[in-house]
Amino acid sequence: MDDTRATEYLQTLLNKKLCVYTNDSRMFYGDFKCTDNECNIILSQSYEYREPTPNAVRAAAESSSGASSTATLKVDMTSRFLGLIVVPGQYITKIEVDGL
Amino acid sequence: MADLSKLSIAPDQRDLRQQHQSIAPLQFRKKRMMTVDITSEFFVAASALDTGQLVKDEHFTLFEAVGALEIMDPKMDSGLLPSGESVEHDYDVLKELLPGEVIGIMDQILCFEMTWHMGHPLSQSLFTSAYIDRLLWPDPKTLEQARFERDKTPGPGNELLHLVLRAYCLGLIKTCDFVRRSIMSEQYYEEEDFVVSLYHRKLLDDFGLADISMKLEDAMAYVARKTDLMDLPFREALLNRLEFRKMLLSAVQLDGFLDHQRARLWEGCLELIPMLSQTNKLGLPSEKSFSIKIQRKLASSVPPRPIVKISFDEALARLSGICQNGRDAYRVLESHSGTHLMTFVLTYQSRKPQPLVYIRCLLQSLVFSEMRVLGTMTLKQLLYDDFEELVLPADVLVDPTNCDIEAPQDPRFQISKRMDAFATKAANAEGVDIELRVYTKEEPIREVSAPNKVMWSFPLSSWAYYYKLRQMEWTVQMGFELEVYQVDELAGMYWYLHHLASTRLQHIERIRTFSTHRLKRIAKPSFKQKTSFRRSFSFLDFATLEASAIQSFAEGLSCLFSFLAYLGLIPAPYHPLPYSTPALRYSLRVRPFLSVSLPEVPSYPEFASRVSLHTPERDAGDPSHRTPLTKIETNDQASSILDVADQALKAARKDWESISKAKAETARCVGCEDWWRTSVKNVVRACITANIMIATSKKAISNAASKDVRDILKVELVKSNELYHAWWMVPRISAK
Repeated sequence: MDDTRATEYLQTLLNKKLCVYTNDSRMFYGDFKCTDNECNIILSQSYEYREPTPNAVRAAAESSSGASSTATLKVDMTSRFLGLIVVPGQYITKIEVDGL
Repeated sequence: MADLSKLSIAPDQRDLRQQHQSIAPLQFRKKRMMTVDITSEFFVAASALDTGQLVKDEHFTLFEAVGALEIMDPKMDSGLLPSGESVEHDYDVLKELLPGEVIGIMDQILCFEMTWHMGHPLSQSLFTSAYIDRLLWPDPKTLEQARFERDKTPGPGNELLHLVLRAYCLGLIKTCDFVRRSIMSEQYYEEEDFVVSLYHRKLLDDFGLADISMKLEDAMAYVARKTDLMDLPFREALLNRLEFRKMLLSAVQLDGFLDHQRARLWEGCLELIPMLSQTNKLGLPSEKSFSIKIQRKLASSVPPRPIVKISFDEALARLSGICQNGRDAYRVLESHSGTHLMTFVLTYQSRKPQPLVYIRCLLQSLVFSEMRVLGTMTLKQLLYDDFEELVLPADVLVDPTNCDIEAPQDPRFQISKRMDAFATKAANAEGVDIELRVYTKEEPIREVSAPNKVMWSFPLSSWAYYYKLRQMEWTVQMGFELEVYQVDELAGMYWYLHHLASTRLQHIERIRTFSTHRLKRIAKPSFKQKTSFRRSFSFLDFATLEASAIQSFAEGLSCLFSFLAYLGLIPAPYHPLPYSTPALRYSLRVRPFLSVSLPEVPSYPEFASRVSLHTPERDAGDPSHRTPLTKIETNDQASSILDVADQALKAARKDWESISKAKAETARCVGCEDWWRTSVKNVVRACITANIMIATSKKAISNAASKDVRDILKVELVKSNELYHAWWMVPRISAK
């Protein structure tokens, strides 16, 4: 990818909602505002999501223990608002774009 | 929301997941949202950029970027977990509790409530409690949802938790809600005094006082009924805590009622505090029920910070302070005029320890809310009443009927219009005074010796000038309290205070002259007029006494410090520094007053000549070069200034003693008489001490014979908090 096409591609993503995953199994969801050649990503209005904790999963499992052993469990990810963040490229494991 | 099945997870967490799969098969499901993985495209595109090249939204500035929180930076990322640590705080809020544990938890969260009052954020206090967290998150939509089980249907049993502790927690959270809202609706002083942030949580603000009170009552009924459940001391301890909470909640509620009923609720709280203190020992610690880990769930941009802990005794001391001050604040309602109100606010706010932010806001809301002063007067009524008391007794200008006149050509209508303009702007008082003269048909005073020289009363500007002088005095005095001035400046600053007080004295005399003149011209004063004049003269008399007392005490201390500086017994000003001269230091000190055109700030030469004796720079600092001061030498100047100090302080003592004997009505301190008397008594004590110090100095000098006075006298400066009164910095002088 040459420089011009790279810039164009990234510009199409600006202000779209990105899910940026980090290597400590968190995900950040927010408006894409800025990036550079080290893939540092700035998100505004961002939320932090975390996998449900083992306790929450266990609790959900217990409360549905009456159901059959193949039942599907639904556990919400825990989230909180963070605002403007920069995720350094070195920790990013995955990037998704929302609603293309 | 996200597609978790694709999430890359670390090996140890994969183990955990396998573990859970043995409990029930897990399947992460995508919710509505459609996302596309663009990891590789993004990385390829980004790495094709040049170093330093940015792709950014055109409206996004680098300035903003600086404020972004850096993820994975331990100083900024509050969600970063040290390796091996789990995010969740594994405390089971549903476990059965012993009565002692419930007491322990109640007392612990009361400590948190107090640290919040003291200025620490909720994230480091109340919001670290697992119980509070469970009640408030996820945000309950109904009061019923605010319970510990949340999703589960509550089963029977465990009432100590579900009924008693829950009611107490709900009551406490709602108390915080009222407190926070009352602070937010007033002006509080500094941000560091109080942290309003809720981290995207709510404090049950949608739910009413009555419902929560009912929960507390239910809990009380339960504890009272279950005689078999626990021993009497535990039951009583729980009942006291619930009752206390219910009372405190009612005391802080915001319903806009101003009455003494509220003061009784605070009194009731105060009476229960000793019980809380005695039964605290029944509580069992529940250290595990609160944790800084809960902070990671809060919408906060700061990493976890330590929980602020105070002892239960300290918390109760704070709580007693709040209850006492809360009760006392309602006494402001006894103030029946602006002058009484002013004394109340000054005296109340200067009580030590200083009332907490909530209390200061409570007083503000009592003094002024919904455009009413003390719930009864409009601002206009307050101002007019004060005009009348100070400068315009029984005058047509302050006649309330003026406002009812509709005819524009009627002078009273014009008066009303101009007075309104003055009251709203309080500017250009002199101009308004000149305009008003036409309508009031004021007769100026003519001097017998020079009948062409006329003097006008200028009532509104007089009034404004009086308060301006008073405020300038307070400002200078505040400097003593806050230890703003250097030791070598004390002589000068007391001289300036003396100067302001004398200016005010002259001004009071001027006001009195015009009021007397006007009274004489009323042929047959009515009872109402007489009362009004009497009130005004009583105010002027007391103000004269007070200004004269301040003037003398300030003069005495100014001379005393001059004397000490002259002898080199207090540290000289800074060593000769290139840019520090006495004139520059003076201009810096009076800078706040330079914009005030009247009274004019004395020029430096004038100031220096008044505070001149002490030219301490003559042998600043270096004792080896000092010229010996013997009795003979000091006699000329130092002794004579000591005599002036002696006389001034004797007069001051007399004045302050008269003030201390004044009736509350005369001293304008109805509502705060006891605190006001304590304060005046402290000034009298300070004044007596100053007199003793003068006597000590005089005796030392007369005994000194040929010895250097500096080898005989010892001077210690006293810290502001160790003084009898923070405004009067009497030094400690003793003979060696």
